Amino acid sequence: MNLERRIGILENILNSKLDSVVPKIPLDFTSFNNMIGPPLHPKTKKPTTIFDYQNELDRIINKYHVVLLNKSRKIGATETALRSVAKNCFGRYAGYDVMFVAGNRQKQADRLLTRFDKLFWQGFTDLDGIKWTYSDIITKKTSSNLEFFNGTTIHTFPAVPESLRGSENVICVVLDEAAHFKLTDDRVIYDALEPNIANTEGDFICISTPNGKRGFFYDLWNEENEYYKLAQPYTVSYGLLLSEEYISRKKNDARIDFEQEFNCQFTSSRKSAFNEELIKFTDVEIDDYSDILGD
Amino acid sequence: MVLDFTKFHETPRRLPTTYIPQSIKFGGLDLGKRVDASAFVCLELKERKLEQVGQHTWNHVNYAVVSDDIVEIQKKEKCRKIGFDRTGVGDAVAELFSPRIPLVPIDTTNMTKNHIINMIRALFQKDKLRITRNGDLFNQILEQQQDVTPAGNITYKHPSSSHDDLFWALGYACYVALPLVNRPKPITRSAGF
Repeated sequence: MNLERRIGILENILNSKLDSVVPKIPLDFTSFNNMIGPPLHPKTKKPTTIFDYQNELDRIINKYHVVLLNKSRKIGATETALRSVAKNCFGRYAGYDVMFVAGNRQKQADRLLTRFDKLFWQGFTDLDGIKWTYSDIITKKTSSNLEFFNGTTIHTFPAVPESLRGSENVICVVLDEAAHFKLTDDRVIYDALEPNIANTEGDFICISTPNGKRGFFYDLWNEENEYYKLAQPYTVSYGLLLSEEYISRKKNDARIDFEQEFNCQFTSSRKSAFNEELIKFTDVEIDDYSDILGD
Repeated sequence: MVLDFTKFHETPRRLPTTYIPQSIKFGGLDLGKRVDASAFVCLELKERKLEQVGQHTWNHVNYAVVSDDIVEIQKKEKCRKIGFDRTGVGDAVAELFSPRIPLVPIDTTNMTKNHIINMIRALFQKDKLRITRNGDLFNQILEQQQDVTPAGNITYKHPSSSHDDLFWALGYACYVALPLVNRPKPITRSAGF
């Protein structure tokens, strides 16, 4: 959507009777989810309530804006982030662009958009009792773009640095499984994305399960920086989305690095040939030969 | 003046059968191909223990630059041997290097690579190898993954998303240094009057 059209939409909204154009959305995350339809339990497919740790993620995103979420698998973190973005599309993000970055291929990224799109399939009834259908809310949907009635646009991208540069008017960037981009040096992804929110002072949300002591997600997690670091290990969802029996099984499965996959620990890569404790260190200062090679 | 010859009898000279200097340095050079960088690791052998003293990585520069830089590094370190992988581009690139560089070609078959990884592990276990905690080498060691094939053989690989150039440079340095690490203590004999 070009800028002219976006301004036109926003002017129309401002000039018209606001209440009849914009759905009245609850500010509370749980109420918003009840309005659009609660998430479904991945196993039973039955609606579940919004749990405390999901509310906490939404609260942190809206309070701190730049967030690193180091999470356990299977606790519904991606779903929560999508729902938090969905709520903000009616408020803070209105009229801006949102970028979803996921996987290394466009198809993987597009799958995330389909999940996001599904949130509105049933439509909803806002706080004024006005029924909003899917086509009232989403005006255009392609495999990699989705446009809201209020000009908010969602774009999906694979983790390819060239495709991530140069976007303007971006209010939010969501990186899903940020530690798992299969790049020799994934810092280029971060470097390409980070300036996109400079103009809008928007949200930067990095979500991932740890993946060894490497990559920009690990670096950001360990550096002193402006990011709010939120860890959500399996314990936050123990007995909720993760059954006791499931966790017990995973703990005893030697093929799984439980501490890394479920307990937010950056251990060595899975099936590592070297145990970290095995390695002995020297106190000698290592010469990088920069004095003789000049770089 | 009277010479006291008894002093010579009191302190007999002990000559080792072979001369081993206090410290010897060894290098390992992993030449980058398309994706990887080229890397050099220098180890110092002291009291039968290898200790890392230097490392350098060249990101996608041409081999002529690497060979010139190795000459400069060799002037400083005076490595006795520098191991490098002769397979792939190794043999061809080695021709660019000065003949004064003591390059030792290593045929890196799968079997050799497994041997090198086992050797590094054994050196760590016996506390005969120490590396720097800072930098990429430590991470690259941790990222080496062990797989068991359906036939039951153990193979090693690194994730496609990461580098392993410094790791292999370390491996080649250890490989060429190993004969001296494992060398039995020299037999000494008295050579008194």
